[in-house]
Amino acid sequence: MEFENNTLSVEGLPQLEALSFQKLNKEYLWMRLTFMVSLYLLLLGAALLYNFFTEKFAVWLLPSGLSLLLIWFLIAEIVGFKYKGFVLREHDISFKTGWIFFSMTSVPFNRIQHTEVTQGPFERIFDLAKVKVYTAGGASSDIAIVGLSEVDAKQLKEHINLLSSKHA
Amino acid sequence: MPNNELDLSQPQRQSVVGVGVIFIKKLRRAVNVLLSILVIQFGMKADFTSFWLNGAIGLVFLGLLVAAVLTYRNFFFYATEDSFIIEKGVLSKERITVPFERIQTVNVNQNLIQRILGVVGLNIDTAGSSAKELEIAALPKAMAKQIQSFLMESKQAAVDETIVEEEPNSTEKKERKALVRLTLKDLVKVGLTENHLRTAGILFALISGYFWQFQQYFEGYTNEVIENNSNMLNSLITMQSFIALAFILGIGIFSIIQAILKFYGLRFYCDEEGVKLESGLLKRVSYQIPENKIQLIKWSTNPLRRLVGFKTVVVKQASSVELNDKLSIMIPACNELHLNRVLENFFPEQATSDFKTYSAQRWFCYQLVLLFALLPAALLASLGIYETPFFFIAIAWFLIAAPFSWMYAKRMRLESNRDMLQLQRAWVFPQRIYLHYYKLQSVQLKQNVFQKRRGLAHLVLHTAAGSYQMWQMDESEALEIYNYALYKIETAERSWM
Repeated sequence: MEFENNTLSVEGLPQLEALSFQKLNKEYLWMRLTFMVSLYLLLLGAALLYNFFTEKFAVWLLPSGLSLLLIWFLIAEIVGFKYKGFVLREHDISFKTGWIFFSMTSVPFNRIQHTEVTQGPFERIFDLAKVKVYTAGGASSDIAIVGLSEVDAKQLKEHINLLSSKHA
Repeated sequence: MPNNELDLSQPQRQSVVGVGVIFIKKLRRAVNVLLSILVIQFGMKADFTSFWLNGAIGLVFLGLLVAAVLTYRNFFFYATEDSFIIEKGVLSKERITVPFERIQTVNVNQNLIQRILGVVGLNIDTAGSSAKELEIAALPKAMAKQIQSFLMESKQAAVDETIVEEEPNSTEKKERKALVRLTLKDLVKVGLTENHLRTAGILFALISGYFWQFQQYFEGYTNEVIENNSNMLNSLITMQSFIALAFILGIGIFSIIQAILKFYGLRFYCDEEGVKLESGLLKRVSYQIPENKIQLIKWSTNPLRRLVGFKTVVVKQASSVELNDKLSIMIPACNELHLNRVLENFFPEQATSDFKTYSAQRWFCYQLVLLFALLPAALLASLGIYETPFFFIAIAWFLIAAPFSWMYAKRMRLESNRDMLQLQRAWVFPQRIYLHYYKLQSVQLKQNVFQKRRGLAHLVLHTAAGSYQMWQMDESEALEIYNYALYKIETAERSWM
């Protein structure tokens, strides 16, 4: 390949933002919501127990504070879900996330060190898994593609491994 | 032994004096642990004539000596066809195999003990992220050099089979000429132009650390004195200003001594093969980074250092974050000429095409002034309601911090040409980073809801030697670099390491 004659004209370059990102599996949203509600119920139980055993000072404070937090997190998760997505191109993989704090990271296949499929307990219930992609650039440069079905996750990992070994 | 051939096919022991080096190392570790126990146990009243205490100390000495001998006897190193092997361990045996291609750098260094005993230590850094210490404590200098070049050559051969033919040439290398050498005068300059605030911090931590350890003795003493002699209170105030003066003087002397210890006889070599640094008075170190392992080059300076025309140049190589400092080469005093030579050497592309400049947007100036000047000043001013002087402190803070923040934001820029990036930071403490596009690992764009409305974004460039941010760019400009960087990485013909 010949790259000597390229100038810094950007019009001809492939534009990432023009490509449509693939939305995540809807199951992922349900998984997150279930996780949050479960955590909320656990904390609420602890708070009620605490109120039961101690003096009745501002009994409403802890449960209502927790409820407000829950509502906020649920809204953030539901709105934020639209912003999450990934795109697999010929030479790289990108992941975007974040409603209030948006972030988009792209990792070229020829910079991938290794990949990993992981599954947490809640993900197992919903038959989901995530693919973690590691580079040599430290933790902040790595990406994790969340909300894939377990089969898809394994397939994606195989695909990435194939491409990254071809590029290496 | 004038011509002792290097034979690594058989397991070898290190120099016999290695026993001494290991012993001192163990002793130092033991003293560190035992001293604090002793101080806690006996306080300052330890009776060093006591038979039991002396006996115990003697026993510890003897134990350490035996341990050192055993460690020495059970330490072997040798090479097979494709890897270097270290076997060690007295009770639990350990065998560390380092494939040649995994070797990152081989460093020869010498601390005070090794210098007295006339040997050197050999350190092998591997590409793995596990920080397993591969160290041979004591070798004759000539042998260490031989092993160093043997390992580097084997590694080259393992990485690239084609180089094997050229090997005879590379063994009789031409004498490298040092680019930078520091004289004693330079070292004094380096010492005096250190970042004194940091030194003050370190010194303060050191002193207060010791003070805290012996606080109870001091406390008893000073209370007694103050109670006995109330006139002392006046002299205490004069004593305070005296202490302050001594502290400032101490910082200066401390900095100079530190600079001399660390950078005495510094030689910095820089050519097509890479960079090499030798320095140190008591502990002589020698680091080298092959050309293809260099990830980026950075210079920084401070107002004092700028007065004497020095820049601190750092050459960084790939490393996990914790090892960052250990694996980069730092030259504290480069002049403009040296810097240009280094840049010409590693970034010939600097001259081949023009740079396009990307600045932080004006909003960044407002943001920094708000965050670092206005907000703290407002807080200080609100304290002014109780104590009037805080009003003046608030005004002073604003007057100092506002222009600083403004200029810092205004002077931040990213420059890009066809092959490389330059990231420039700051006012007062300027720094500049140079790197090739193909050394990037991944790129990231960050944008919060407010930035989205204003069409702004942060750009993060992830390299194997750290992540670097360009703040508050124009969104379309940030995407321009983002897409171009991906294109450059994906079409790169050279490997990033």
